[in-house]
Amino acid sequence: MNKKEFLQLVKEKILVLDGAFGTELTKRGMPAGVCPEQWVLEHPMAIVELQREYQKAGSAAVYTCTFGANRLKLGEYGLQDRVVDMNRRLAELSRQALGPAGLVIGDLSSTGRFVQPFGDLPFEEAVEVFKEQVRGLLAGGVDLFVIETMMDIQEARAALLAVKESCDLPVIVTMTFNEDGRTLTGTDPVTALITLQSLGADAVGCNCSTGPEKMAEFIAAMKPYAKVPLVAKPNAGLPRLVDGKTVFDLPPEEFGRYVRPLIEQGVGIIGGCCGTSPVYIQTIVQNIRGMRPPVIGGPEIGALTSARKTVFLGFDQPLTIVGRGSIPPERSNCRQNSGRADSPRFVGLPWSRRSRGRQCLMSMWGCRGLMNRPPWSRRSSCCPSLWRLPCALIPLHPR
Amino acid sequence: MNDKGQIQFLTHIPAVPPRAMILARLGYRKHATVFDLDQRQKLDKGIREGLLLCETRGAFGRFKVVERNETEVCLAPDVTFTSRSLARLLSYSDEVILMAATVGPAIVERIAQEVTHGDAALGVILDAVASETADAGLDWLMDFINKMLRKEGKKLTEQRFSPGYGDLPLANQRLIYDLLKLERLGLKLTEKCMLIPEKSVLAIAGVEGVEIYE
Repeated sequence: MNKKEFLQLVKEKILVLDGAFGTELTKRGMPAGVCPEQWVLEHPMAIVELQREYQKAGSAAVYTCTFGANRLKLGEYGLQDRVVDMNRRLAELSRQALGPAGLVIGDLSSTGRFVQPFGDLPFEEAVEVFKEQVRGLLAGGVDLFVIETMMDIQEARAALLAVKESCDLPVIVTMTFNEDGRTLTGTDPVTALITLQSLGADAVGCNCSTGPEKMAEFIAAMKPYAKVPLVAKPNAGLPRLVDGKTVFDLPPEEFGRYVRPLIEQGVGIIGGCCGTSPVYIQTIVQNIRGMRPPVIGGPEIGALTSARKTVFLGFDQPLTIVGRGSIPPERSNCRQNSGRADSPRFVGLPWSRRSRGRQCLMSMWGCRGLMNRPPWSRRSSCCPSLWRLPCALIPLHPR
Repeated sequence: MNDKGQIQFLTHIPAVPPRAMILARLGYRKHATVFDLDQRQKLDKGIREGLLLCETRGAFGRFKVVERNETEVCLAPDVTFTSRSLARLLSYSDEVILMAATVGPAIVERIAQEVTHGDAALGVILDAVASETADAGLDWLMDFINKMLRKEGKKLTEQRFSPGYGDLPLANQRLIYDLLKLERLGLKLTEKCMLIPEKSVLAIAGVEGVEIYE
C-alpha cells in the first residue's frame, strides 16, 4: 500500500484497527515473564486465531505481534541477534491470519530506554535499532507501519525517521498521554501532532494510558491543527490492580458509548488498546455504522515547537514575544569556555532574564566552526529537547 | 532479579527546587531575616549560578521483593536490607524501586573552590542549591516513575527511604550502588560508603496498587 492509497482509504471509510494482544494472549495460555514474541513463534496458532477473531469482529487492519521485537527489548531475553528473523516470521504469521484482504501493520514500540538528551540512548543508535526491526517487517510483507505507545517524542521521532529512511510505506504514530494531558516526558497532544506530521507521519494520534472519554479531549485538542488523519486506540478504562493483576474494567457496551464522540471529535482510525478484545472491536463497528470519516486537512499554520510547547506564528495570531539570546561572535574566551561545565550560558538561556515573559527564543551563534565541535554540538542537540520554550538556532557562520 | 527491564539512566533531569527550600536550608526565617539590596542581589545571583551549574542526572530500577519479615527486606540471596522502618514502609509492596539522583561534579568542585579560596558565602549558597536540587531530582524521579506505574494500576509509596536515615545504615548505599550500576552515572563510593560527588542521593520506595477511589 502506498501513501496515496492509504489516504484514499481513510477518506472513504473509518479504518477499524484491532484491540489488545497481551491480555488476549494471556487468556490463550501465555505465561507471565516470557518474551511474548518468542512465545507467539512457539505457539503460532494463538496469534493466527486471535488476529482472525479481530478480523471477523471488523478489524480491517491488525498490528503484527512485534511490540517489543527490537534489539534492546529482545536483548532482555538474550534474543538480540534474531531481530530481523523474528520480525519477518511474525509479519508472515499476520499475513497468514488475515489473507490478502486484510492490512498487516508492522508494529514498532518503545525500546525501553530513554533517548538522549533525556536518557542515555544516543539518537542515532535508536534510529538504527528501529531500522533493524523495520528490515524484518518489510521482509515479512507488511502493508504499512505503526509506531505506538510512545512516551517520549524523541523516541517517536527516531522510529519515524527509521521507517521513512527505509521505505515509502505509510506510517501511523500514536503517543501515550497521561491523565494530565502530557506524555511521560512532557509533550502535549498538539505539540506531538505538529512535530510528527511535520516529520512526515501519515496519521497521528494516541493509544493506551487513558480510557476513551479522556482520549476524546486529546483528539479534540489536535483536530484544529491536523493535516493527517487522527487515530484513537483507548484502553478499556483506567487500570486497577486486583489480586496482583492489572485489570481494565470498562465493559464493551460502555466503551462503545464513547466511540461516536471520538469520531465526532475527528478520529478517522480507531481500535482498542489494553483490556480490549474482539468483542470491543465489534462494539466499535456497531457504533460507527452509518458514520462518515472526518474531513482530513486543515488550514495552513505557522508554528514553532519545543518538546513541550508550541507557539503559533502569523498575522492572525497574537503578538509573539521572542527572547533573543546570542553567543557573542568571536568573543575571545568563547572557545575556551565552551568546554567548561561552568559556562552554561547556552544551556541556561531559557532560564535567563532574557527569556522571561517570552514565548519563544531565537539564538544566534557566533563562533566560526563552533557548531560542529563538542560539547557545543552535543548541547545544540540536547537543549531544544530540554527547553520548554521553542527555540530557533541561527548560526552566524552556517558553514 | 530486575524483572522489568534494564536500569534506566536519565541524563538530564529537569528538576528545579522551590526557592523557599533553598532559603530554608540557608537558615532564612520569614518575617525575621532581613536582607539589604546587595545581599539580596548576591543571593539571587548565587542561586541562579548554582542552578545553572547543576547537571542533574538519575537512575532507577525495579526489583522484586523475594522475601520479607518484620526487620528485613530481601531482593536476592545476597541483597538484604535490614531495617524495621523500611520493612514497615514496604509492607504492601511486592516490588521496590531503587533510585539515585546526582547534581554532578561541577557544582561540587565550585563549592570547594569558593569555600577554600574564594567567596565562602557564595560557596554556602551553592551548597544549599546543590543539596536541594539533588532532593528535587529524587522528587522528580518519583513523579516520573509514578506516571509509568499508573499504566499498570500501581503507584509508589508516598514516602521513600534513604540509607543513613532511621535504622537503615549508610552501608546499604553499596547494595543500591551495585544494583543500579551507578558508576555509569559517574558516581563513586568510598570505603565508608560516602557518594562522590557528595551531592548525590539514593532512595528506596515500594510499589503498591492504586486504591479504587484514586
